[in-house]
Amino acid sequence: MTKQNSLTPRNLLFGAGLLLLGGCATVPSAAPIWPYPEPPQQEYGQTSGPAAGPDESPQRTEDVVYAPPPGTSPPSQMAVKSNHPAVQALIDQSEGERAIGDLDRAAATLERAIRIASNDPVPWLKLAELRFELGNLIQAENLARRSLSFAASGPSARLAWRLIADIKALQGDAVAARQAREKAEQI
Amino acid sequence: MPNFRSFFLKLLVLLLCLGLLALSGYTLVLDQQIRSRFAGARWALPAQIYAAPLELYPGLALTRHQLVEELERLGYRRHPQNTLRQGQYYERGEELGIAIRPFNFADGPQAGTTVRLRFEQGQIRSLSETASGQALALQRLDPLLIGSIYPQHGEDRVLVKLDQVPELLPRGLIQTEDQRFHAHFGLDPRSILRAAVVNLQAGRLVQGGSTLTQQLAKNFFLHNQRKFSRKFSEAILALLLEWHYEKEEILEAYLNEVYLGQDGERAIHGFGLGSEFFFRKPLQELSTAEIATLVGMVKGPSYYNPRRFPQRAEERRNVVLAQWLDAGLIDAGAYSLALKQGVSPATGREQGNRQYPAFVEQVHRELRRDYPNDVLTAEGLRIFTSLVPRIQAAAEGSAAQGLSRIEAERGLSGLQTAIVVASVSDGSIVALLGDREAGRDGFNRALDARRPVGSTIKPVVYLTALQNARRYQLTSLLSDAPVRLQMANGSLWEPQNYDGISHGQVPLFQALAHSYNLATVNLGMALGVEQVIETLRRLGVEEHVAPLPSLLLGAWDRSPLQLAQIYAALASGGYANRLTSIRAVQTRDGALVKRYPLELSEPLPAAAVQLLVWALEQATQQGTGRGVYRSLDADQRIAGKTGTSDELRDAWFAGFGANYLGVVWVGQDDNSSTQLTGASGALPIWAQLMRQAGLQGLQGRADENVEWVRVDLDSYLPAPTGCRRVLRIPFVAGTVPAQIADCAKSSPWDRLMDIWR
Repeated sequence: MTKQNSLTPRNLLFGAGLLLLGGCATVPSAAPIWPYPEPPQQEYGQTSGPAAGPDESPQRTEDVVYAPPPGTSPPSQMAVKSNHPAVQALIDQSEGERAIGDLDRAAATLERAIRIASNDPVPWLKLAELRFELGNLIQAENLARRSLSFAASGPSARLAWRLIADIKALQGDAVAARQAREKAEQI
Repeated sequence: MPNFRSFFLKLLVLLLCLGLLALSGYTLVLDQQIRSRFAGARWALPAQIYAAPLELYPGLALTRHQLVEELERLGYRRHPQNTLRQGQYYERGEELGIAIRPFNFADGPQAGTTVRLRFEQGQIRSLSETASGQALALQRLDPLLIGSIYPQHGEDRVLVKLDQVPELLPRGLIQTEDQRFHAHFGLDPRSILRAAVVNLQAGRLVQGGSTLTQQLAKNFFLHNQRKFSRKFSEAILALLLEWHYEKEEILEAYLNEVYLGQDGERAIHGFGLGSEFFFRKPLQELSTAEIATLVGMVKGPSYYNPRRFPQRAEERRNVVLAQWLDAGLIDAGAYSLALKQGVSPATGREQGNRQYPAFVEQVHRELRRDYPNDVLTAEGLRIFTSLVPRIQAAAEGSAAQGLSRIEAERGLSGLQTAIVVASVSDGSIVALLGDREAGRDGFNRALDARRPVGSTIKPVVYLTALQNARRYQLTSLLSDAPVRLQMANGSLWEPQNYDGISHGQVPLFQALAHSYNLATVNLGMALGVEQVIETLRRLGVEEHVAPLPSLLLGAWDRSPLQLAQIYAALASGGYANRLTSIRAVQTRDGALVKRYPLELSEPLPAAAVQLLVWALEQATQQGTGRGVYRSLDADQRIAGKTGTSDELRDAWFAGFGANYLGVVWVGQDDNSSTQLTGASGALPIWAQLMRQAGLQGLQGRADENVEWVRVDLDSYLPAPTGCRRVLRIPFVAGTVPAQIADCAKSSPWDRLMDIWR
């Protein structure tokens, strides 16, 4: 930014003149100051360290938070597709972003899909799964139930109930977890 | 005598030293100022606010005409051929080509690209990339810049980089304003001398000798100093600028700093904003003639304002063009082409915050929760919001036409309105109108006018009942008998029905659909006002609500936005969180500061909500909301409720379909009677707006907890096959009355028929 004052005769003369006028100027301090009240926020749970489980959870260990309970497969392994090509394109894009660990961007992409077809259960489900991965179980459950409100049956509904079962299991609510799993099996 | 001379000499030296010292001190002060201005914050850069981008994809319900409207709003220009440059579009039959601008979205940059669309029956039929011919699943347009947050009486600008501006701009600027810019050291004695000679010959000031550097110094600091000291400081500052910074840096600073005019209390600084303000397009897309117009304005921004003085501006522009031709910056062809262009800038809507003042105000209020004001006005944050310009335009048009028509028909005047439209899926605000005159910045009624909501509160009372499914079904009979309530202050409250008569025993859904006051008060008192307030809490109301019986009829002051919040919860089954306008915030360099992710609240009992929504659909089918189908397609299922406050002061309509919810208020600022009901005053505007916004009808979904039952319309009991007047009504599973209607006995006609069977 500040120019390199090379020792040309013109600069010397100029410099001498300015020194006479102004004396030596102070060196500008270049330390950048973060101008916002807080540094950029990462989404809830998206920290470099392990995510914390809900406070009431009796199983508050890292393993439990990240590993699905035994007997359930991670929902994302199951293929469920939207009938809407634009929505499916965004879901594919978000899967790619999720795969490289850019979960925030993947969530933003899914929200785009929801805005395009808000009554399509699939992007709601995908966003629920993403929030689950981020450790935000409350939002994950609300989103999964929203997905169910748009399709009470079909593959997306089965996955939504399985996700709710996983959430309930992590929250230590064995009864609700079993009920949700039964719902999933009924579909 | 020698003594005196030596004393005089000493005095002279002393004065000289003192003067030098003062000068040095002054220079030091200036030096520090200029460094902090240049190296530190540089320019106070207002936060820039963007609308939601339009997503294009095959199947989108959008006509070619609507897309062209959107493109014109974005400052895209029609081009006759299919050889498009960025910011242009062409139209041929049902085909449309667009050279989309690159844009740095909150989720990353999107490169500029040229696409081709085909339309069919009001839809986008196909979408492909022009160059490759490859089909695209979807494509975003760049979003509309809808405003910025600048300090009061402050500066606004759109920052540009030297290597991004059209080459002609810096070269032409130097040619016209300061030909020896690259040679001088901040001051140009030759040009000062020449100016002096010219001015002396003319006997008045016709030519200034200021270099670009001096002009920059003047623009930076010296707005209101007296003439001599200003010239002096300007010279020192110019020297300091040249000492510290490269010519390119000074030039770039000049391009961003130069004052180009006034827009109300907003000062237009820099060519970037100048281009947006006068020509409604980015600097990169300006024509030779438009660049010449802006460069010509530097000499006198007010005097050569192309909007106010097109004649002068054109003459000045032509002088500039001639200079450029002489200097070889442009060729004769470009010159004559530019001369043929009109100088008048883009017409149409106001620019800047005046375009969408109500929405920008809401954005600002939300931002203030997270960012101090000096950050907002100075750091150049990029704010991405949920405003949908097409729907905002629909709201503005419907309000203006609707009010004019109502006033003409009923001999009224001075009506005001406020409108909120939000998305059901994520609770984002897509349109906000705070005044009947779009763009008038003043009292923001959508946010700040709190008026009694009248009957629009009733769904909350009925939802409270329906949540107690064992006790209340849609067919439960309510007493619409007169009520007298002794109030805490000793007064007597005797509410009336709108038509002044009591309707006896009415089924619950009809009491809501026809908005019977007495049945509602009887129901609410049986439930308990506290229970109704508890439902309000679950619908997102946080503040204290006084537990008065009059709450049941909507004697409760809410702003349109606050009422919309309640309807967002109803429309989404309780999922909708706080209504918001912001989606993400970026730094001026495009780094993400914060995303505002989609958050849902805990849902309300789904079955009870489904029953309520069905009753609200009946309100538009058979009740007070019937008028919506004068504008909307009769096949669409719409939930909506009218509201009218005491003495017809406030007219409300609140309702929703599958994608949008909206609240419209109509009233007088002085709170006098409008002579309008919700149905006659607010509903027509709501319906017209929703038709233009593309409201989708509600979709009934099978829910395992909801049972649909044929109900006899005389007894409101489940109907056996013999009944003729039946309606299919939803019940929460397990709450269908056991008693069956006795249709055969209830209808004399049937009895007569039975004799002959």
